[in-house]
Amino acid sequence: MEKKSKISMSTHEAIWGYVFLLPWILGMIFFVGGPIIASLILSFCEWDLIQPPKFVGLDNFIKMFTSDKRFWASLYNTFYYTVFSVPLGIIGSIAVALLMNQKWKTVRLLRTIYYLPSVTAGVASAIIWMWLLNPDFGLVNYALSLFGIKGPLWLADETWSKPALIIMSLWGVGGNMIIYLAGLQGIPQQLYEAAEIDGAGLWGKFRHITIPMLTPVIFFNLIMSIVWSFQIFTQVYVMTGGQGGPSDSTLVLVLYIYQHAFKFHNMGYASALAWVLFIIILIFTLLQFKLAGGWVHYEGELKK
Amino acid sequence: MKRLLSFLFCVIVLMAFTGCVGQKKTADLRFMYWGDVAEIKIIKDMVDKFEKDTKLKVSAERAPSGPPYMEKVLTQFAGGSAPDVLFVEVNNFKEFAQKGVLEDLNPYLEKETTIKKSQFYPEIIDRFTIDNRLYVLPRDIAPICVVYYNKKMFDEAGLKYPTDDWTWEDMVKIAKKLVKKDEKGMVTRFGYVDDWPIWEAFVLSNGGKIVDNVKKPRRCVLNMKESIEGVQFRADLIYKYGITPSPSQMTAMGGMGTADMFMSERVAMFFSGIWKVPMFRQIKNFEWDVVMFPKSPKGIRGFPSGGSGYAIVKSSKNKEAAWKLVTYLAGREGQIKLAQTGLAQPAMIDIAKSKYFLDDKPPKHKDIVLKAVKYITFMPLMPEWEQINVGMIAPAFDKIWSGKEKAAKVIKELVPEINENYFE
Repeated sequence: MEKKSKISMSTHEAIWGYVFLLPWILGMIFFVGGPIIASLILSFCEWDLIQPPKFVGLDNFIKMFTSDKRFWASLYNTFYYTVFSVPLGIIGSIAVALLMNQKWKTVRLLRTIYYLPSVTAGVASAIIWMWLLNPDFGLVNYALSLFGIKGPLWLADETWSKPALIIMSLWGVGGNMIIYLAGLQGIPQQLYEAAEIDGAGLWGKFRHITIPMLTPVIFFNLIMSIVWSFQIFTQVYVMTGGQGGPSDSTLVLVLYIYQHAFKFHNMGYASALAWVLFIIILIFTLLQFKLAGGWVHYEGELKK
Repeated sequence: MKRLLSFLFCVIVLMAFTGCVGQKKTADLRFMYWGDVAEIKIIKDMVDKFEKDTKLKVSAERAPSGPPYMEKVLTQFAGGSAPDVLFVEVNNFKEFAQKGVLEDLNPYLEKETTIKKSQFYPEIIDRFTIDNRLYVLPRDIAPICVVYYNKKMFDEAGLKYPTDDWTWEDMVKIAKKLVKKDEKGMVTRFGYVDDWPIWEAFVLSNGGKIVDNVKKPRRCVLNMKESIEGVQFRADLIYKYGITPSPSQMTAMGGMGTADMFMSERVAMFFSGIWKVPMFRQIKNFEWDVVMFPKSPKGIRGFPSGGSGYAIVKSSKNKEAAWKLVTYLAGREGQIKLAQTGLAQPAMIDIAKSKYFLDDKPPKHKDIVLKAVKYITFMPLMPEWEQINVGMIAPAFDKIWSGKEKAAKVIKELVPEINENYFE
């Protein structure tokens, strides 16, 4: 009954492998690859979606860097957000992961609770935070008032709107916590035992075993967090009605791209902005890989 | 088993491909629109009637109003599959008008027996006309001149109801008496609020202007004295007179819109267009009426305005049929149905003046919108206006509404920048 196949087993498997990959590959080529190339071409054009695109060379980029104040404002806002939210997020999620790595009875429940915000839709959590940050009735200002502090107007005040976004971003530490938790549980117990025999205390163990062993995970999270924070959009869009107000204080880069693309219908300019964002993210990621050798330790790796 | 798998795979792929191609052309006309529930019903009824009379098939697609609608329409233009008939309004109209993608409707209108140009408000016809070409057959016109007021609050305070000849000062005086505060000094009820910061109404009724020429803007002139005074007066309503909530007081409402404030009796007067009528007719707790937005101390009136209508896209392969559909949608029957909902003032003068629009339902003084038409000024007719308004004016004006800066300072810095970037 069994016929001798003309092609070898491994080729056969490879073919089926590609067949199963096909939907993804096709999707990638047509729905992602195509638009990527199109947007690169459009970034050198002027296009209002109605008339055919007009080639303008580097005009979009020149305008962006020389005369577009809102571009610089949006860049500043995005960096401001990244500089604070990324380190705070990493410290926060490691701290929570350490707590959630204890052998308490309720720890499973607590892990779930901390993880929940990550599975909540961004729009829903943004609306919840609008309530929490409400100047008069919000929980945040109520908590501050218990310490005798009069809370700021948060989203209605241009000085406090960015800090408000950063505080809000910390709500999502649970997502990264899970990854750290996995990292923590992957640290071999014998390292701690050996350290204890050598007389290391709690801090010593944390400083010389936990942190170094976690660095690959921290590295991964650092890259991802920076990429994500450069791409912040949903919260700002929901909380400011797509405006980025007050006075452009929450106008982040992706929101600015959105405005040009879908409010002002300058597709070409929006594409140019998107490519600038891509290059910024690329530079930061490459830079981190470059610097990683100095502080990221892989198990079994020999440092020269 | 493997055979079966590969067979299944082929079937799925084939189905996917035919699925893409299979949806081709089932409709003779494609029509894009937005609207609320009442409007959808009217549009569906008229489309049904059209289909029955002409035996043509119409695919009517709806998108949420504002940016999502434009997004959908423009994507279709970009993809080379623009609809045949478009619903447009006085502001998004400019996106299409100057780009030559809309059909001139004058020749169709001249041949038409059921509709005449003279039946419409000349103001809205003029807005939709560029270089003697009429691009949109108007459905409605919407002067933003309507101050809704809570009669119960006026009665309780022993105040007379406002009349159309009132002025800004009268409004402030009245509103101050209607403000209520709690024992901590927090305002629990405001005197006056607008639907959104409608500073244009204050500029226009103070004799100010936004640009030199609405239809062919060459300069932004918001820095003229009258315009600045108008904007400053709106800020004064918040910070000098304390009758209007500030942006931060608005956030304290917990995401409540200003129309909700009126409905839940947290503000005595509410400024908007006539389109709030169906919503306010659901109010059970108090009686309300409307009065025209007050005159400035200079005795001038001026209002911004909305309005909408139907356009035929130039690339349409079936223009005669498209015109026929437009006459159903913007024709008498469609306008009468619209008038009956109370949602919009019909663009045909005689229907606006008829019992269909001026019915017995509240508000009693609905006819103010008829009188207001002659005072309207539309927003500058240029595709970049949205960008100027959202990208430059709104962020700068935030500083005025938050009380951080005076209108004069902000506007004097802003206007040269606008002129430099867009007009020179």
